[in-house]
Amino acid sequence: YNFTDCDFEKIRKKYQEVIYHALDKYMNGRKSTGFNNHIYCEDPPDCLTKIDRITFYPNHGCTSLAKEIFAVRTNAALTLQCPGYSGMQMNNTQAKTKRKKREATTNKCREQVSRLMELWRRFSR
Amino acid sequence: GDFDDAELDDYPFSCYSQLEVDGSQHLLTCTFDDPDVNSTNLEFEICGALLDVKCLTFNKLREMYFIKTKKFLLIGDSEICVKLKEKKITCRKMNVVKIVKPEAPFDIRVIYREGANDFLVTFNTSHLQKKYVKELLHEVAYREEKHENDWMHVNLSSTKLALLQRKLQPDAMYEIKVRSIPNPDYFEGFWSEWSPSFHFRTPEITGRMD
Amino acid sequence: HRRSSDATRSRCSRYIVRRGRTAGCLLEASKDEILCFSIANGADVLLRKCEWLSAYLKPSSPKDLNFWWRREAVTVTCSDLPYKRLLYEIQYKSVFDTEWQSKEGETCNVTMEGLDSEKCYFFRARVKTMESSYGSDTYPSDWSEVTHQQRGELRDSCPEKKLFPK
Repeated sequence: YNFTDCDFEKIRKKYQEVIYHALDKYMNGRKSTGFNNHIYCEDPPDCLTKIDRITFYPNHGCTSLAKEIFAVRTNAALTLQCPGYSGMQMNNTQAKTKRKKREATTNKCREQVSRLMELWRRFSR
Repeated sequence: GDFDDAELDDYPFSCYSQLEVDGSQHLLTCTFDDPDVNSTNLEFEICGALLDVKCLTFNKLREMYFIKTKKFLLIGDSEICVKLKEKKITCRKMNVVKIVKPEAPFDIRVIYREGANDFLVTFNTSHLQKKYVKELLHEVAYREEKHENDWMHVNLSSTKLALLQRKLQPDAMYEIKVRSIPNPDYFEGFWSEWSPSFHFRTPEITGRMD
Repeated sequence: HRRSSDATRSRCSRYIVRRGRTAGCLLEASKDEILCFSIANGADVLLRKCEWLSAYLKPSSPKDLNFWWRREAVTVTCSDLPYKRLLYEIQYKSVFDTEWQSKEGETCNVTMEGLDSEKCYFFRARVKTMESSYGSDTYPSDWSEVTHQQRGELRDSCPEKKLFPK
């Protein structure tokens, strides 16, 4: 999906007012700068592309963030403000785990969320 | 069915939300606009823009319907419906973040500052500690007690205000109160209830304040 | 050290020395990007880290404050810094107040209500970053110089008054 036509200002407002607090709560006060694997995004579409990939698709030993509150909110924001964005596609693994309680927060997932926070910060500046 | 179309519109209702009203629990309250509606067997339900669930059913307390939950997504519209035996009879689209009614401010006090020739008004609000609805506008209203409807109003966004002595009557009893509304940006909504009033007497031209 | 916009690695050219010890390195920066750096003692690398330059941002303090008085309110303005998601904090107090009172805005155009223009007021300003956009390792700017205002005009100072309460 190409995020070029999204309403970036409305997404930023939703991030600043709602999504950020859920990310912060997920990190549970841990500093997101404590990890050392940085991720760079050039401009708003590039940032949203990487945010979408890390949030909704398993990577680097963190199988699923898609059910977390910040992810459900991210999905709602992108669905509302990005024309044609079809929202979180539950792939098979996520569908199987859908009824399972949210996974315990692993360090691998915290590392992914710290990269997400960096992308969101960059997106919002 | 039980209702023909004309009757379906006879159940207008209004709702307001209070976020983080009890820790991270939010409160959504709905009432029928017409207090004389026979609400027996009528239920309220909210669907959409919820976490983990599709819909939630309201609890009922006398004529008020309410939900206390953490499951508001706080992004996007929900649909709130009145139901009779599982049949939706009227619905409205609402966004929980646009119908916020702040908690009433409290602890309003007035201190006379003789050297400054003013009255320092301070009050408190629970919203300073919240994560979501932090930005409020406040309206302070004060009047000389013997002039019942002669309220003066000051709008401000801080919780401290100086009333100038030269603008008040000497040796007079005053009543003062304050209410709040979301500073419309992401969160919007309605005026809170008024705070409890505080009463104070202005000094005579030269004397001290009681 | 190396920047995300430039693959070449370079050594620090201007070390900061305090009490005869290397305390830091002074680097020019023209835009926000990721800086990867390592700190070594000879061949022994002590720390390797990458960070957005803006993660440690300390904005410059506001200059040339302007005051626009009307009835019992004043609007303070100054020129906005060239980057976003900052908070411009104005602090003010009259000679009768024991503490500063604060008001913030997302641009340097901040209005304070409930003031008595007859009184002499102290004003100062600084710039902070929004944590949701810069993280928690930044610094507030230094405070601007204190400005004095009475009856809508600039004053050199505010005369000392009996502070409330007597």
